[in-house]
Amino acid sequence: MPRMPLHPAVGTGKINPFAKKVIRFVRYGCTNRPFYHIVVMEAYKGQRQPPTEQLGSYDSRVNVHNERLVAFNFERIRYWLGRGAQPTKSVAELLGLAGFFPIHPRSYMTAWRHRRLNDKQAAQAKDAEEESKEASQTS
Amino acid sequence: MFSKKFNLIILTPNKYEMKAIVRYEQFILCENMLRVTKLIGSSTLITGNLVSCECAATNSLYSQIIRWKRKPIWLPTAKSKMFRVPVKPVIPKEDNDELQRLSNIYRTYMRSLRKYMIMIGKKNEIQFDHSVVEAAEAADFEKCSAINNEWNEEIADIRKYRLHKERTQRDVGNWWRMKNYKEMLAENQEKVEEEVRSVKKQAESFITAENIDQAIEEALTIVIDHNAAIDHDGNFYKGEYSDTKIDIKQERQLKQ
Repeated sequence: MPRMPLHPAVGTGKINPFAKKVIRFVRYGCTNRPFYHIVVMEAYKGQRQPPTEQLGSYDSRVNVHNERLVAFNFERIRYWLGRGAQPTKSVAELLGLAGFFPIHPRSYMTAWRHRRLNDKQAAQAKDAEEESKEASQTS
Repeated sequence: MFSKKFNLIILTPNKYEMKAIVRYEQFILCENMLRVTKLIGSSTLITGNLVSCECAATNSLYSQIIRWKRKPIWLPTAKSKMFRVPVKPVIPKEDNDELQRLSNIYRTYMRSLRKYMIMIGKKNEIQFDHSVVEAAEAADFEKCSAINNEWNEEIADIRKYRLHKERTQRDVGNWWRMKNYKEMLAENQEKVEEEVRSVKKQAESFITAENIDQAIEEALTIVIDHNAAIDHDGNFYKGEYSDTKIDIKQERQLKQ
């Protein structure tokens, strides 16, 4: 079933001047294959409502080159931030990684958690190796 | 062809995972495919969410996964989940402190950045105001137009010189062409006059209404003998032999 009425993905350009604006993801793609548009729209509107403007896109799945592709229209993002639009946490994180914003604390947190997990796994592997060595020596 | 009632084991994959034995009662046979239309003895949770193209074979051993619908908001908490206490994430104090520190810095940065963006936006609003932009465009147009006029004048001079040159060349060419044409006309006139003169010369011997009687008289009186002969050596004999008249009637009779 198509969404009725269909709107252009790049945005309708319609603005409610009194409403709070937000820069956020809209999930396109399909089941088990997410693809996001980065849009600016009124905060009260639903995810799949016609956006005011599309500001970029984000493919959260890695491609064959092990890359996650993201596109931003920085000029318009700057404009909308100047108009008082608030980016959501996930968009702010992405913009931080892009170098437009300071790095989000959550990015640091995930990084150190991954680091810790890796260290733990490495230590476990090392222990297992040593144990196996000891077992072989005693036998 | 197939039994109308049999049991089917349904395994559901999500958090409402459970094994349910459901009795199927009604099937529709459609191109070797059985479509489940109704499930008897099951709740509305199942029936609303069955995928219509999913196949259910006649074999009762065949088990099939059916996705369950989400619990509607108006249904109460499930009995099994009634006294479940959700596990809260434990964040170490060091991490928490670090996160707080980072967040404080981040918030300060973001606040200043946002203010800067807003300031730039306001500046742009003044800078790129419609009237200002229009005035700037008008000034720019004036400037461009002045330059264009200058260029136009330069090009007009060049064009004037070129056109003058072309015109003089054309005039000279025309003069020559006219001269040749006149010469050609004179030649033609001369030719025609020559022809007229020759014709006039011939016209003296023409038979007209005045001298026709005389001409007839002459033609009747003066008989010209056109008979001539030639021998093997190529000698012509003209007027040497008298005119021989043949009686046509006599000849015919002789032939008969």
